[in-house]
Amino acid sequence: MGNCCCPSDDKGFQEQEPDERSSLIGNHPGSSNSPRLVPRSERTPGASRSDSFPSPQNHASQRGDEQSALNRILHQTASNVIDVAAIDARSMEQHEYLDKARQYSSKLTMLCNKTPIPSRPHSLPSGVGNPHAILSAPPLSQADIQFITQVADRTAQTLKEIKVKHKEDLVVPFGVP
Amino acid sequence: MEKALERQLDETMNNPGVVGVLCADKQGLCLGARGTGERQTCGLITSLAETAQKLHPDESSSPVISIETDNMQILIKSKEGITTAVYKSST
Amino acid sequence: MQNLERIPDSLGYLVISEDKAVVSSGGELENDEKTAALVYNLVQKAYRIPVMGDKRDGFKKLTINWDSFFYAITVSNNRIYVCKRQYNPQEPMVA
Repeated sequence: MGNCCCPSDDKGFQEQEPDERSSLIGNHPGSSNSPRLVPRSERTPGASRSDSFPSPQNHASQRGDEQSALNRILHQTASNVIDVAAIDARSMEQHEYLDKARQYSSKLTMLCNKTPIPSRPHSLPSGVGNPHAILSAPPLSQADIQFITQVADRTAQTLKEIKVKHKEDLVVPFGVP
Repeated sequence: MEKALERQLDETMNNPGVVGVLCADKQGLCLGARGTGERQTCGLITSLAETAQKLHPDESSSPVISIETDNMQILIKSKEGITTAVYKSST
Repeated sequence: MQNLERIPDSLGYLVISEDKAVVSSGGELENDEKTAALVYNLVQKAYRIPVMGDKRDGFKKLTINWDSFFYAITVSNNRIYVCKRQYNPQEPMVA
């Protein structure tokens, strides 16, 4: 979709080994079984393609073009939508479930063996020699405390002043007749 | 819209001894960084400030945290969900 | 461990081992396992903050300061030493 990590949708549907991304729900209303859209040229026989100047006949064919384009977009979106309510609740069969479980666990063990996860024991820094002297040292100076408090206050204040500048409308109506 | 924040970070850097500044939001995301302040540290800093607040019976008061190493001092304070860290060189 | 009580203005102390157990404690922090756990977490985070890039810079001390008291925390010999001290600022406030 809009995700930069999304795998391409352009894979051929035929030869594809079922992996973790392959669809489990096969026949949903919007799948490729839906009726094919009739192209414009078949619908309006004799209409020529409009090229440059809009003439009275070309207006009609232009609107036809837009109409078919809109229909195409609509059908494409509909085929991408999976209507969960309309599907019969079909759970996986036992052997399919066991198969998949075996597949996933073997993949997992393969990955685990490749990159061993290092188990880190609780670690502390090397520290100082004389803790008593360090802890008895004079506390943080008033100047330091005031300084960081001021900086924190001013930073929080400037962040409050961040405003969105409204430049254009988010929703723009298109001229759809 | 972040010009005022950028200006504020630059002004902080102009103080004597300051070699880095970091500013993080309450989720630990970096809002600004200067000098030795590394952006990835923001998560640690926010988490540190949140944990430190729990040491006080009134958990809403935010303390001034100071981390001292041989050559550096980091001062950290939260205000209204924003955590600011200032790196001061002690050499 | 006893000399931790002799730290000026001390209100309490804790010594925590590397596996989060309280080794010794006194004053207001006597048997305070909740504070021990919090301080342990704080140290784990604080010493991981990169300070000088690739140059080695040893962690010395961590202090948490409020208006009337503060915690001074350091590490030595794989143990965390904590002292809760009263905060009595000697210097006049800078205008």
